[in-house]
Amino acid sequence: MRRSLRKLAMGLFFVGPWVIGFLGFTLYPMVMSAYYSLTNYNLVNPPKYIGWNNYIRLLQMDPQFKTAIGNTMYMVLFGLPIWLFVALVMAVLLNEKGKLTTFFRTLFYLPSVVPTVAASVLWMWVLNPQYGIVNTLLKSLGFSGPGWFTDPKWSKPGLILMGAWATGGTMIIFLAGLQNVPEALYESAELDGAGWWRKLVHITLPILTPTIFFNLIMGMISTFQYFTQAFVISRGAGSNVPPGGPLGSTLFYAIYLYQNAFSYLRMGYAAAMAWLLFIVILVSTLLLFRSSGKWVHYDT
Amino acid sequence: MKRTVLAFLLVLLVSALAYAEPVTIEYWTGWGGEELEDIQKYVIDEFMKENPDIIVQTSTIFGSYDKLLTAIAAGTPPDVVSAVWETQIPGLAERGALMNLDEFAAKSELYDPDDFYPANYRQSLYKGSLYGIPATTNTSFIVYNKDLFREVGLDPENPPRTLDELVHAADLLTKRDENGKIVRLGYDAAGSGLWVWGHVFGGKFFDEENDVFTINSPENIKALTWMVDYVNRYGGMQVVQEFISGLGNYWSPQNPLFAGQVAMAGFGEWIVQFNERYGPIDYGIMAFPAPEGGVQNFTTVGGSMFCIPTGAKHPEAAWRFIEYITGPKGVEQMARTLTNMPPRRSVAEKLVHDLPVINFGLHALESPKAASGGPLTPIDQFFLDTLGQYVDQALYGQLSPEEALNQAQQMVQFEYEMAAF
Amino acid sequence: MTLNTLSSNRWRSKRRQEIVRVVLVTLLRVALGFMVAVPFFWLVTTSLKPENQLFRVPVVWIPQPIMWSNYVRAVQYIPFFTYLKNTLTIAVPATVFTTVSSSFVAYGFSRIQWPGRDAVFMVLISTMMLPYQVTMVPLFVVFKNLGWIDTYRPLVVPTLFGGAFYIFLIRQFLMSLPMDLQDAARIDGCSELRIYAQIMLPLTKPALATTALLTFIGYWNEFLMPLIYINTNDKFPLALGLQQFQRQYGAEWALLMAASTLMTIPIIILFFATQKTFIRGIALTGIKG
Repeated sequence: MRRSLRKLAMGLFFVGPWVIGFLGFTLYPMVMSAYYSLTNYNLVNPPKYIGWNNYIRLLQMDPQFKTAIGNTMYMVLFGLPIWLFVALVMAVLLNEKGKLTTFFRTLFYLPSVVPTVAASVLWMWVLNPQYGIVNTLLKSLGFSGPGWFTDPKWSKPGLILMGAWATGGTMIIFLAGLQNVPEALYESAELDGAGWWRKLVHITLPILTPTIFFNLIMGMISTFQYFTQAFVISRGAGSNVPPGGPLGSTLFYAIYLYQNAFSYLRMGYAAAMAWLLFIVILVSTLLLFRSSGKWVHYDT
Repeated sequence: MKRTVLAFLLVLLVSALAYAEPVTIEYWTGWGGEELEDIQKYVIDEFMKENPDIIVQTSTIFGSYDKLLTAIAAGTPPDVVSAVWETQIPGLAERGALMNLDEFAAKSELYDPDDFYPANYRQSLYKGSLYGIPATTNTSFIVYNKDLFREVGLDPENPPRTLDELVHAADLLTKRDENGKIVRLGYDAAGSGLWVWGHVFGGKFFDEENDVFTINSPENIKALTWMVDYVNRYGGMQVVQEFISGLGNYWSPQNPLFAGQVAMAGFGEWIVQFNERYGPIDYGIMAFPAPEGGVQNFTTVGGSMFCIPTGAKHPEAAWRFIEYITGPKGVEQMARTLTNMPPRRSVAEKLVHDLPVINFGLHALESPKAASGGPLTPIDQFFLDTLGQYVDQALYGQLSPEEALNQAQQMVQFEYEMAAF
Repeated sequence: MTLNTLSSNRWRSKRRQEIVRVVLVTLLRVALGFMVAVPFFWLVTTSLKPENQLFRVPVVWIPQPIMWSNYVRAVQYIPFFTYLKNTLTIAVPATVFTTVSSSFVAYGFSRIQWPGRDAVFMVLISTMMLPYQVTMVPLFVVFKNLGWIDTYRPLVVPTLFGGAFYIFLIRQFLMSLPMDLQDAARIDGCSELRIYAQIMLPLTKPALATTALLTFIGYWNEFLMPLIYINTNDKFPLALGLQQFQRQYGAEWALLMAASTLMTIPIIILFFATQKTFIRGIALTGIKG
């Protein structure tokens, strides 16, 4: 008994800093944020309780909120799968025997160490409709490139393209997963006459499912909070332009939330948005976990 | 005894030191770059020379005006800000973020409300109290490139006076390459915004008497319809935006007006300095042409307001700085440095011969039709962002002008009532 | 057809398959590599262009002359060294604090068996799912009341309490070390603190290096937090300063690219210098708990 008490004390001593941080920087703010979400609060005057009005207004009366959800879902449903796919293809290519593997690994990985703001600024110029390198190359092939970040239809594809360029972190995780596949499995499959494609589909991918699942979860959580790239690029359109343009096509959830909090000082409204976001992330994560039983293989 | 004397002397010495120690005030400005360097040299340094007991420490927040509200609301404010547009005063004052300057003003010998133009004076007040004082003001007009007018056979001394003439000139001045891509745009009408065109068409956005927004007034809808038609002449908003994304830096010789990529452009008094730095081009000035029944010679009037945020550490010293820079001497120095309009009549009259561009502003500022750069309500930022979004939807053809403005009206009015000031 | 020729045919076709595969893989690698490299090329070539060659059709591929002076102008235009100093003022303490505090906490979560440990650890894991936005507003209010707005404290102080992700990472590493290491020490009467500091800490060096590296890069890149908390220009870190510059001087593309290059180079150097730690760190993040 005394020993386990002593252990408890020792354990708490070590995890103490985190517990204090958790209480002060996570739990307390969570409680307060739930409270603010039921108030009208502009940071200067004290919060005024207004019940569920913020939520009602968000869900029923705010077209911007709908736009923000639409844009964010677009990224989760189209952007994220594309990014994961590109990362997976890169990883598979690097896992093959071949010349200059280290060189290519470094090259593929490099974009993801470029600071996000620098990368965003760079891509504004890479995708400049008139003088950017992508449209120039397209033109030399006989295509006329789109307006990218100046065109509401092409701004999100532009962001997805940029994200695909910088997907090196995910790629490395895939690569680590690939290197865990036991060589013996391939060898026995080869004896059965399996080709490259069959080995990929029947051995590699199933074994990789936990890694795919992990990347999917992490990717989803961060895509729901997609912010910096779109913020930098859309505000870069002019020195007095609010973020989210053109035509609200890059108004993502986190951007609209930020604007509410810090441009309009609608702190209560922003807190309500944050809680809705949290609930969506929670539910999506749970759904993914429940579905994982069907397609994620934890054996071997 | 000896000890007492010594102590006494020591106290004297310490207090003398404390007295001689100048007060440092923090000043946040919206000016930046070369403009700020000039202001520092010709105005702020002058002030410090005359007032050795005050040190002004300047930092720029150029480009992040939208953060000002949070910055002040968050406490730890500077002693003086001038990065406040006239439109931000109500929002800040209403939230208790600015100091009421009435008492300072009453005692001041330099501050004279009657010397300010009515439009500027109105903007200084919120609910009858003084919250900010301008040191400069801007009017707005269209600058056109006379050489390009000559090139296409337009009379450079007779710029467009009606909307039809404006469109006609813009058509002639617009140039495309062999693929039909715009290489020179006559005039980017959408860039001047509905705020300007709505007023030119005789519209208003806020009805002060009834305390309601009037974004969807018939005049504003007419103005937006005209803007949409205008943009469509050049292939729609997308094509225009694509062209704009390829333009050079505004604060450089690559500025589209100086690079010959646009022939007419909405501008303010800073054209004089820009032309010295990035030109020269042979330019003329014209008022926004108005339709029949609209407002002739419309201009916006605005400028940076000098304010003291609540919680400033040295309000007395802050006021002395404001008093100086918005006083006759400071206003003149600012006007000369930036070639901006002075908001004080006595200074404007004195300068009019030195700075011809001021002639335009002189008439404009006396006009009762002059409007601020935005609505004078506490939700200015929300208004401007929301209006911009709906105007864009109309320009991109997603909503009809009427629908767009109806929805904007509903959103903004609702927020205005919800915010419940 | 004898068995012999059959197997040799099979061998030949297999070899042919092998060659096709290698060629295909190489081609794909080169193609992807090209796409990845194009923006880098554009970054560097634009940063060296004279202004009048930026907006030109056909595009100028190699600037003529090469304007090294763009870099000099860029560091003056943006107060680059001030921003750099600010970035380091945030990133260095944040890195040290995160590494030390996270390893300390990770020890408590791995090498001591105490009742309730796993439940508390689950709480820690689940905080990683919490979007930053949920705590953003109240934290702003807290820091405002403390008078910390427009200082680096809101960015640095929370790192004293460990980062959930890094605690997790170091804990995973600690769990993989044999338990008898410390049992022996305990029998010898060593205090837990000494076991942590003298036995475990040196053994976790690889995990600590990874933590330090990832934190440093994280703070080098961090945009949202300084955007929220820092107001005055002369306190901006690089990420915010660059964005601000972009907003003000929109189309100074040559200078923007020069500044972006300057902001990226230190990280690339760091990456090459620590490639092993780096890659292992990223790979570790994917290991399931």
